[in-house]
Amino acid sequence: MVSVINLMSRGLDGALDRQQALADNLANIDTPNYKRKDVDFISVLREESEKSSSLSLKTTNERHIAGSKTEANSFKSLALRESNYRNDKNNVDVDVEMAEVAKNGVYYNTLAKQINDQFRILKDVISKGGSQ
Amino acid sequence: MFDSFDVSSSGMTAQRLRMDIIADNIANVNTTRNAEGETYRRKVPVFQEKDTSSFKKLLKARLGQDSSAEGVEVVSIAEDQSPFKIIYNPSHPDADEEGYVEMPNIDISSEMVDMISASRSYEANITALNTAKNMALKALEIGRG
Repeated sequence: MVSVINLMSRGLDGALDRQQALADNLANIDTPNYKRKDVDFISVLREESEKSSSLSLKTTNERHIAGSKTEANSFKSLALRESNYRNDKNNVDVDVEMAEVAKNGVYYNTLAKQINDQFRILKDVISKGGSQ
Repeated sequence: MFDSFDVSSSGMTAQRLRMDIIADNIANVNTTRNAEGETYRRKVPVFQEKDTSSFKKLLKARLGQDSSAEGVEVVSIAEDQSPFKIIYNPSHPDADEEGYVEMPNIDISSEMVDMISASRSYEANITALNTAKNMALKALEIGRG
């Protein structure tokens, strides 16, 4: 259960990174020669969830907690260079960016809600055990 | 977390400066002399992707990350070097010996188009800022229920 929450919180981090890249694209919408950026975190997360190997901490006592792997943000930031569709060699398409901003926002909110629900389940389990 | 707020606000600042410059151009559409006695030239903002500060850049390189988004900045305000409009108006005090006056190289309709474009880009940045804000507020709700 904790690892599910961990994975989802990495998803939140990724969506936040992505939001920044999208904001940068919109800020540079009139900058000549600017190429749009994006963050590919879904594939990193997919890899991670498939591996699901945890890096354990060194323990000197069997009652020590091993810990689990929580990496710093290492999502790949991509600058996409293939297309030019404007005279100033800027390839930011405002329609695409706004749609991505909307998608990313909904993704983030959904993930936050799911994490919240996980915690609510934990709380329910704990409190139901206490009442006689 | 707040970096994307700064990125969006840099976009808004740049678009507002662009709007100021357009307003200046439109206001000076008939200006035949500035403080130096020359005809007004159309001004254009020069946009550039903001460079990451060197410390941040080094730190990110050390962590194996790409330098991330930093927003936009206006590096200079250039003057449009296209030729002035010449009109025949001998009664104008700035007319030359043959009666021609140099008028600023401003085209009102292209300024209006730029103005709408600046205003729409500003709105797009606000939308991105609002989305980031809602995401941040949603994160605050985690663990509240």
